[in-house]
Amino acid sequence: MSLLDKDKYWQCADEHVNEDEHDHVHGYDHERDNPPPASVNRRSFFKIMGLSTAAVAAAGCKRAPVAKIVPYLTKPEEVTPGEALWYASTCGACSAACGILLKTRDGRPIKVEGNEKHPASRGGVCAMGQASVLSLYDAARARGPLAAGKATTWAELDAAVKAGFARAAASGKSIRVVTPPVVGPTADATIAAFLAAFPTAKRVTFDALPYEEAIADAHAATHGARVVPAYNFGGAKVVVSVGADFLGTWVSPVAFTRDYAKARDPEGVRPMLRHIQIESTMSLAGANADRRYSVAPSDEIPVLAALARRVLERSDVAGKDTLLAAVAKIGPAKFDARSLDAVAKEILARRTEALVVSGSTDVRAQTLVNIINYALGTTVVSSARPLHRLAAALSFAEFLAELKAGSVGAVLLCGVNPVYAHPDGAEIAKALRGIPLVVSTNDRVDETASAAAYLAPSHHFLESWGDAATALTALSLSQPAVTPLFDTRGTWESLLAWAGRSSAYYDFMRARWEKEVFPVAADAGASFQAFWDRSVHDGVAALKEAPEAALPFRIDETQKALEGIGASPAVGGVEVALYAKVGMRDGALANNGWLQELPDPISKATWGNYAAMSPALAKKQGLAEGAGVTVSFGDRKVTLPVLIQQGTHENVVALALGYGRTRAGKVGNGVGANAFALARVDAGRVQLCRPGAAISATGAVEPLALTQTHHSQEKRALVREATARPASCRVTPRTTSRPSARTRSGAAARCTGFASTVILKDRPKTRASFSNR
Amino acid sequence: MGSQQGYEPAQPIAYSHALHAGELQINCLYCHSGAEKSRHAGVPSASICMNCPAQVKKDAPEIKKLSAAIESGTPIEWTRVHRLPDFAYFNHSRHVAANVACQTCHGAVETMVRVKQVETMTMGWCLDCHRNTEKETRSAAKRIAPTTDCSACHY
Repeated sequence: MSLLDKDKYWQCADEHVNEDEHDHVHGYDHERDNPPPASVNRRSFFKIMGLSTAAVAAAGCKRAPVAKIVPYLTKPEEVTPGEALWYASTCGACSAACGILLKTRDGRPIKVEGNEKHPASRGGVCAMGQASVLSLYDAARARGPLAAGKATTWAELDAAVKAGFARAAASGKSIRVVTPPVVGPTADATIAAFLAAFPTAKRVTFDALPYEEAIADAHAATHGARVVPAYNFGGAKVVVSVGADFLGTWVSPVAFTRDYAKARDPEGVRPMLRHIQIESTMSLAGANADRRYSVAPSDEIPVLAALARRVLERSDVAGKDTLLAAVAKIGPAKFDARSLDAVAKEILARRTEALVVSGSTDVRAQTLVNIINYALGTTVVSSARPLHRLAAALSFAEFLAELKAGSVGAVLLCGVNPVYAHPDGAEIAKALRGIPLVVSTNDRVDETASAAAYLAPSHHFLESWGDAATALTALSLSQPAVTPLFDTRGTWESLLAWAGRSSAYYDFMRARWEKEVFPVAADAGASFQAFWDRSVHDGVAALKEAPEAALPFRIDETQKALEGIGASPAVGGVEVALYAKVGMRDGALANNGWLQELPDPISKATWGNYAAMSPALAKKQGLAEGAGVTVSFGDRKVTLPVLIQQGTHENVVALALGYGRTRAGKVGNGVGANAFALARVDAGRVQLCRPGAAISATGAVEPLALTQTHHSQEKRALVREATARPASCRVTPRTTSRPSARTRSGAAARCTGFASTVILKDRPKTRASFSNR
Repeated sequence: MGSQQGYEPAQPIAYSHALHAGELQINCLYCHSGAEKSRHAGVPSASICMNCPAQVKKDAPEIKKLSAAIESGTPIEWTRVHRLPDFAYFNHSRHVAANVACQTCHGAVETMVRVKQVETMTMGWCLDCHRNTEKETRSAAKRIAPTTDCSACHY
C-alpha cells in the first residue's frame, strides 16, 4: 500500500481501480520472481569475490590481443577515418517518403535522422524510418538471386526470366507486375517502360493497408482523378477524423504531425486547431483530440452519411439535392444524434477551414468524406495538386480473378507480400504455384517469395537510387549510402534489364530527371549537372508552382459510387477492427528487433499483438488482461492475449496487423498472430473491419510485455507526497542543484506545484522494505 | 588488460620513423593527417606512401612490398601499437588543437626505427596531464583547462 493518493498517481487502470499496486496484475510477482539471495551469506560472498578478482588479475597479466590497422590503399578524398559522413536521402519505410539524413561511418549507414530541408517532413522521421537502418543489416535478407531456392547468378536468372516472359507473351498469356500503389515517379516510368516492352503486360497494385487506394478510388469517382489529395492540417481550424490515425500511421504521419503541432502551439496562431476524433480503437491521434467519440466500425459509414446530410442541408453547393438524396438512402447511425449535431456545428462554423478525414478502407466512406469536404468548400484539402497520383493499374481483386481463370502466364511481384498480408493468402500462394513463371524481387524469401520460382532480391532502400513525389512542389531523391552489402539488384534495375534496356537505373533516372524534372525545377540554373548535384546533395528538388486547376466535383459519378449502401445489416457478435500499429504498420519490417521492442505509444506493449478491448467488453466476456482468446469468423481464427484498452468501443476487439509473420526471419517469425486472416473481402476489396466475430477464452494466460508498468515502487513507497508551505517550496530547487546531506543519501526533492505540493523521492527507511530489493 | 608499455611489435613493412620523421624531418601530420580533424590520427593509405619512394628508391625490398600491395589491391595490415580500451573515448583533433606535441603521448617517435609504446596510457597517466596542464597554463596567454569529468571520456 503506497502512501500516494491513488486518484492522482497510478500506472495502469488496475492500480487505479484496486487498492494494491499492479505487481500481481500481469502475472508478475516481485517476491516470487526475485527471491532474495539467501544462499549468499557474507562468507560465500567473499569467496565469490575473491575468485572473480583472481580471474581479473590473471587476465590482467596478459597482453591485449594483437590489433590491426588496415588503411585504404587509396583513400577516397571525402573520407576521414573516425569522422562521420552525412548523406541526404529519402526514407523507404513507407509511402510517405520523408526526407532523411544518413549518418555513415566507414561507408556504413549507422543512423537515420530527419532532413530539415525536406518541405514535407521538415526534419521529422518516424520510428519506422529510424529503425529502418537496422533492416539494412538484417541477416534474413537474401544474399543473392535464387532459382527454385538454389543460388544462381544474375546472368542465368535474367536469361531464364526473359525466356519465361517471352514464352508468356508468345502464348498470348498475360504478364502481371504487382507493385505497391506508390513507388515514385521514376519507378512508375520504369514500370511503364517494362509494360511497353511486353504488350500483354499490365500493372497490378497491392496495398496491404488499402486505405490510400480507397481514398484514391473515391477521388476517381468524385473528382475524376485517382489521387491521394494533399491535406493541410496546419491551415485547418477544425479537423474531424473518423478513424484516421493521422499522427501515427495514416498517409503521411510525420508531415501531418509537424503541421498539427504548429497549428496547436499555445504560443502560435489563434484560434488554435480544434480536433475531434471519432474512432473505434484508441489511436495516437485520438489520444491528442480535444473531443473523442467512440464508434463501432460498422457505424462509420452511417456516421459520415449523417454528417454529410447535416452539412449538405446547410450548404448551397451545386448538386446539393442529388447528393442529399443519395446520402439519405444510407441507414441511420447508431451514434448519438446530439453528438453528431455538435460535430456538424463545429465544422459548419469553420467551413473552408474545416477538414474531415477518414481512415476507412471502404471507398464509400471515403466518398462521403469527399462529399462533406465539397459541401463545406474546404480549402485545406487539395486534389488538384495531390500528395500522390496513383498510376492506372488493375486492382488486386481483378488480378486474383485472372489468376484463378488461368489467363496469366507470368507474375512479377515487386516488394509486395500478399501471401502474408491478404486474408486469402494461402489461396494466393496456391494459385501462384500454378503459374508458369513467378518472379519476386522481395528482399528475402518471405511468405510470397517462397511461392515464386525465382527470387531477384532487391536492394535495401539505403543501397538504391530512387525518387518520390512527397510534397506539393518538391521531388524527393534517394541515393545509395552504402555499396550493396549482398549480391542484390534494385527492383527497377531488374525491370529495366528484363525489358531489354541496357541502361542502368541510375542513368535511366538521371535521364528522366534531365528531361522531365529539370525544366520544371524552381531554381534549376543553367546546367543540369549543377542542378543534379545540388538535388543529390539536398535530397530534394524544389519544383515550380504549377497553376492549380481545380477539379470539378462530379455529382453523377459520386451518386453512383454511393449506390448499394442500405441500412447496415444487424450482425450479432463483436466487431473486429484491424489497425496499423505505429511501429509495425503492414509488418514489412517485422524482422526488425528495434521495432518489435518499441512500446506502442498507446498500449505500451512490446513484442507481439493482442486483442485490445474495452474494460466493459472484457468484463462482459469474463476476461482478464493476458487471458488468451480466440477471435473467429467460422474457420478463420486468431488466438491472442487480451489487452484491456480504455477508449476501445465497447463492442469492438481491436487487433494490430503486421504480426504473426512466418517467413520474415529469426526476429519476427511467430511473434504475435496474423490478423490479416480476419479481414473481410467485400467485392474483391479487403476491408479492415468486420462485424460478427465470436470470442472464446482459451483458458491460457500469456503475460504481456508492457512498459507501462515498469518502474514499480515494489510496495516500497519511494515516491511520497507531502504538503509544504510556499516558503519551503522556494527552497527545494536549491537542494537539487547543490546536494545537501539528504540528497546525497539518494533522496531528491522536487517542487511540483506553484505553492503546495512537493514530491519527495525517498530511500526506504525500514530494514524490512530494504530486504525486499 | 595490463599496461602495454614497451610494446614494440614487428610490422609487415619495416618502415622507419627514425628515417622519415627524424632524418628527413617530414611533419607527423603529413602522413597522419586525420589527427587534425578526426578522433583517429589514421595510418596513411598506401598511395600516400607511394608519393615519395616511387621517385626515390623503387628497388628497395621494403618498398617493393608497398608497390606489390598496390598492384595486387591488398591493403597493408599494420599492427596496432597504441590502443585505448573501447570504453574510453579519445579524440586526436582536440589534443592537436590544444598544441599537445605528438611526442607527449607517443614518445620520441622520430628516433624509433620500430615504433614502441613509451607511456603507460592508463587513466592515471591521462589525468596527470589533464590536471597539470591547467596549472601550467594558468598564467600563459592561452590558458587550457582540460576536463577531468568522468563522462568526458567514458560515455
